[in-house]
Amino acid sequence: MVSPVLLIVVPLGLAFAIPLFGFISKRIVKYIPIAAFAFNLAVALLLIPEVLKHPIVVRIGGFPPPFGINLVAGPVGVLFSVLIAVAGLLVAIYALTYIKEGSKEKYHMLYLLLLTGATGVVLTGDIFNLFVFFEILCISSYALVAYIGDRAGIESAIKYLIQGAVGSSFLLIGIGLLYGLFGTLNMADLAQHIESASPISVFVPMVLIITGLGIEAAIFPLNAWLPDAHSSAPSSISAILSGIAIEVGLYAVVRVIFTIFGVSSIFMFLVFLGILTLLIGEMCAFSQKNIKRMLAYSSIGQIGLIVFAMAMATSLAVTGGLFQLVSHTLGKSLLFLAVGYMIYRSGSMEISSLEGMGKRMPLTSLAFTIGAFSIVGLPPFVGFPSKFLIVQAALAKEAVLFTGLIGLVLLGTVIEGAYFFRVVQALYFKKGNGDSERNEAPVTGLIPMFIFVTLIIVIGIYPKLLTDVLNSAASEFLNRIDYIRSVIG
Amino acid sequence: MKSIISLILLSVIALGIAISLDKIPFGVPKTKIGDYYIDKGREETGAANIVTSVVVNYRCFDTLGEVTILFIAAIGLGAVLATRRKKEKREIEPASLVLYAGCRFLFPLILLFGAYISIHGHLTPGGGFQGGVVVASAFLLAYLGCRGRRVSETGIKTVESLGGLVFIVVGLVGLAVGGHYFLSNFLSKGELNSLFSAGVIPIIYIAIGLKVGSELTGVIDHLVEESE
Amino acid sequence: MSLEFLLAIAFGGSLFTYVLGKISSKLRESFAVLISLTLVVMIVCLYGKTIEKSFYFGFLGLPLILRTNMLSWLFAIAISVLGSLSVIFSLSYIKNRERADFYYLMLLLINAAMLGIVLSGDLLSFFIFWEIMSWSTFLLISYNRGAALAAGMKYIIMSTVGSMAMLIGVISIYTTYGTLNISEIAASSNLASSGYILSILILFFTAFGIKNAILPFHSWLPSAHAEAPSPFSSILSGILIKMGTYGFILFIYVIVGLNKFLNLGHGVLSFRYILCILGALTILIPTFIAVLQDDAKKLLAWSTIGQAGYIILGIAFGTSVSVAGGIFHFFNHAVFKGLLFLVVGAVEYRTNGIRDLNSLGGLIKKMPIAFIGALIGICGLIGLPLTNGFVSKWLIYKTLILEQSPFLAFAALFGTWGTILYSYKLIHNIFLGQLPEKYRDIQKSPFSMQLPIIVLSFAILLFGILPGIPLKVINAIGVSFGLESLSVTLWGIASETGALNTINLFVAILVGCIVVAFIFKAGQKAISVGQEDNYAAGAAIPKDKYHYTVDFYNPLYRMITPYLKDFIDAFYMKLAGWTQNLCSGVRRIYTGYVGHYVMYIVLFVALLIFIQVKWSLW
Repeated sequence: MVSPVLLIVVPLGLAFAIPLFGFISKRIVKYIPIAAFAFNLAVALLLIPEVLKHPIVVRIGGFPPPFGINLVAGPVGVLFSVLIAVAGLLVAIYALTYIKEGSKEKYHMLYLLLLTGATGVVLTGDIFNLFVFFEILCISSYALVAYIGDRAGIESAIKYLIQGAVGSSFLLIGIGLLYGLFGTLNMADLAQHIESASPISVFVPMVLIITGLGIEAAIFPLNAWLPDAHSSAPSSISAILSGIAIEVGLYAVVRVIFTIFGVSSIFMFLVFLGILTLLIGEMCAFSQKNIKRMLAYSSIGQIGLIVFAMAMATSLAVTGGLFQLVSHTLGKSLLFLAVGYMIYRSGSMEISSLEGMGKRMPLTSLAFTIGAFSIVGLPPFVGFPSKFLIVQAALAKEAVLFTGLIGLVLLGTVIEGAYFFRVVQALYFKKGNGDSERNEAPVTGLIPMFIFVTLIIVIGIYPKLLTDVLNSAASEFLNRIDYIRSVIG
Repeated sequence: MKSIISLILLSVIALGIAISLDKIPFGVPKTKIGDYYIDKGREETGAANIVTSVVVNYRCFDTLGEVTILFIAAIGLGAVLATRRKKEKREIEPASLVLYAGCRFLFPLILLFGAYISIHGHLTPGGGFQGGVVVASAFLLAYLGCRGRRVSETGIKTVESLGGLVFIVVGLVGLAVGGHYFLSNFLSKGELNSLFSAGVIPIIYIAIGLKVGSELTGVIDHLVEESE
Repeated sequence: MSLEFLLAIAFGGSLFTYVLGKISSKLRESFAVLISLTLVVMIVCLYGKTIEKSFYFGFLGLPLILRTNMLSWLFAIAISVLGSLSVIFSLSYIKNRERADFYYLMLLLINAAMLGIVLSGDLLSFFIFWEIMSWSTFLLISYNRGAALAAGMKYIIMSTVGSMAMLIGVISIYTTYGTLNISEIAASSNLASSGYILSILILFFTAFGIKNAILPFHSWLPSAHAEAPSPFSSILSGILIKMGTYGFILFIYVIVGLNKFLNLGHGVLSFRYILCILGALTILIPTFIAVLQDDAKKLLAWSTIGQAGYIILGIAFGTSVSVAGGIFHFFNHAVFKGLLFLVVGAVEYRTNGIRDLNSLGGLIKKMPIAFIGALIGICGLIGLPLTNGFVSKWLIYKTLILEQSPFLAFAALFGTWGTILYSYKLIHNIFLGQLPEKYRDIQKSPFSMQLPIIVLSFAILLFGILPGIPLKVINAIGVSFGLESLSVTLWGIASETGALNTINLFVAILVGCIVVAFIFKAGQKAISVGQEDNYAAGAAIPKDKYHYTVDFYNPLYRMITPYLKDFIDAFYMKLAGWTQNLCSGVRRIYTGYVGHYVMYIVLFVALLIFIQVKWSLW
């Protein structure tokens, strides 16, 4: 049996070792993230059949929870690990030729560490450990946002850093209060005792923790760093930030609310917050002329949709939310990767400068189009079954309120469709100014894009590939008693 | 106006935190796992310093993460600073002889002190983090006092990587031999209060000391480079 | 032969055509024609069969079902025949254009998706194919660039609104009945309350109404039809918007059932009556807007909306004769409107994209086949006897009059007058009158354009003289809905309240023609006058300055323009403007000052704590 701890430790070790590899050969460095995530993907896929039977609880150092730190590799953790490994692997391949400037060694180290942090967040079963991995994730993303080193990059990295730091302090205060109240940091143990304290004294740490995590999860009104950061990072990093980082933040929020606090009274508030996030994200994206900002705002909208789905808290809704999360990862990563080379070729992020790209970069434009259609939720792409499930979950509530809300969600989809279709038109049906010579992205750029395209179409046509894992992941979120039992025994 | 609003908002948050703190009895040791560490810490980990037993054994995974955070901060700073264009060179005034000689004299002593703190982390207050910082302070002194001398970047990087790798390899060996737990204390715990006790704890703490020391030195190096 | 095989050929063929196009354009074109003709043959073979089969279970545990029956078959045959004719027409139309591979891919993909829609036996596959059709249509409408971009956006936004309404409808049905199989829903829908059925119908009819362009959802259609490539306009107008019609029929007669439908609401407020009124308005207003158009394709586009009104009126009225008339009119409209768009396309092809009615004229001798096509086409459109349009309109008029609905009957008749006006304008301004100097050397259409025109013209006459052929099928469809059977003969319909017998008409018109021919023979001494000389009474006219087709119907134009502004479209454009403003307003939340951002965070925390401390909401 492979231990889930390897998912964290091996990439971490390789990241530490990168300078040593750099002494042997500078060229070898950029293949290390590929090796790391290929390994992670294999391990995570091997773990799937086992965790579907029962979650694997790993005790670090051999101490029983709550005294030591433990990892919980349940369906949720492994699902996210697979997702991180897939996106990490593909974006690492993309970065082989995409990252040309700056210190490559540092880029690859930070990249590895960012995703290691993400894997740690989704696997850990200890709230302080979650905080530590969360910081790994955040700090490496601050550094990577500034990686290009231009004014915009550094400015948005500093904005991100300030807001992230505020969030981290709230998070830490919240964790501290919890530790003071219950004398334990283990999530299952906390969950077990949470009802013994008075509601108001638990409420404050909950708000602080949700806020701290919500900043990374880009929930409105905590998401103001996102458009700047996502648009000024290198596109490979934007793909990871949009595809992985905010999803992991969202995972943490959901885990805290569902598993630790187990409060159902706040769900309605989150439903509205999700809708608000969705509408604001989509509306802001609609009025953007900068393609990366548009995609960044669209991520906010998608996160809103996922929050909405998760907060409905039925097994159907959580399945749909997780499905939407997967489809957003695939779609948005693909979009950022495609846009990366388009910007590179045209030299500008304005949508108007991408006109006529359909001719200059036909395959990249095709990839963009498929990604956009999937995000909008058109069949036969992966965005459709996920949107289908969410709508189904909302209607299964059989309440007029939810029917109205789902109307708002779909209104958001219409706006989303409008701005994505506008870009697709610009790519294909507007005559570009400037040269129209064919100048396709390099093979290392096209391979990851088309693997994403394949995944989007295959899962879109055959969602059963995912639904089993998603179903048990949803039940892991919803059955906190089972979670507690599997950790504490 | 703005500051009044901020003040009101912050006081609401403070009120909330106060309400929550209100329920936590002051000065009463209440935490269940705290008691556990005090009762069982020595016999389970073999470390005389209970803080160390928590930091490097019970919650060693956190420590690994914290080391990584420091590592990232150092790289991130380097990455950001490296992209900035160098300004024109400033005239560097050489240090006076007294300062120069004093720094050179103190430098090995501070290093020794740092090493001591790291190595005795499981016995006395202190440990790898503190030791590492002390080591880095030696280099800072050298930079200030002995202008113009620089540490080799390769050296810093090698030590930094090796420190991290030792930590992880120790953990992985634990996974392989010590009853299938990552970072388990697979070496013999030895006799309490002796230098060679507490299994892997001193090894890890030394690795941490090296890593933290080299990272902070690297940070100082980057900053000095920037200011020049 | 299985249905999934048919669809696999349709979808696979479209993709394969694209691949072949990368090798050779000849290969691509022959393959495209081959695929579309194969589909026609396969669908002909399906005649009279009833198949229902689940073929795929991979989608969220919902079985996807394909089925065929008379209704599906009638739509499928119309799709495949018009599709293949349009592919043949495209051979020369699209020959020297860029991105021809893409064009064929989309054309065949849309055809495949439409076949999927009519052959699907459950609402999920219906929705999936519907969406595939929607986005591929968007891509093809935008194909011509320029003004086509705005047209495409308008189309896709309205279409998305419709699709989202439909998505809610589909899933609501699933949560209520636990199945999406159309026949199972039909069996259990009797139990549902009227209120529920009404809400479902409103959701679905929004989607269908947008696709079918009935008022007030029509505003995407004129620009989309005008800007799309002409062979595709003919599919768009002839078939694609009729997917909405198919949806209407499916929901009214198959899923809800006639009885339930007729009893939704009562009196003036009954659902059926409102639908009829919408149909009547859709006939009246767009028809007269069509009269005002100077762009040949815009004129046909508005005419399409008007004709769709007849179809909806016939279907929604709900008697066996009116339903037969509605379905038959759908079929006829596909034939003659498809034909007219192809004719305009042929003219556009030879005049390098000119479709402005004020600058064309006199092409009758230059493009005789196109002229004949246009003549027969407008005869069908107006509904002259011995063309197919006559029979379907006759059926609709007859019901409306017999069932004593004066307003609806008046609307239908009045619409026909408008139809005559714009049809005449169309044919006159293109083919009659003075031939502008620059078109002296214009060539006849190539054969690949003539062939579809001839086939469709022939079809108009055939179904006009022998309406029994399609009416047999349509009657069978009606019977399957539980409507009374009509006594259809090959020559028409026998009925106590006035039978239709086209053979009598045929004989009468034949005799009339013979008489006229004799008179003509008797007057052979008359001098033959050149085409242009006869309207200046023989006097010489300055070339290119005298062109009386400009400002055709000017007095009428002045009279009705103030009443016929497209208020609805203007409203939509305003709505779009408001949305844009709102969006850029909302965007200002992100001010760019990090101080504000931190304030948002602090405010969020403080607000939550305050609410909880004050009211203990959570």
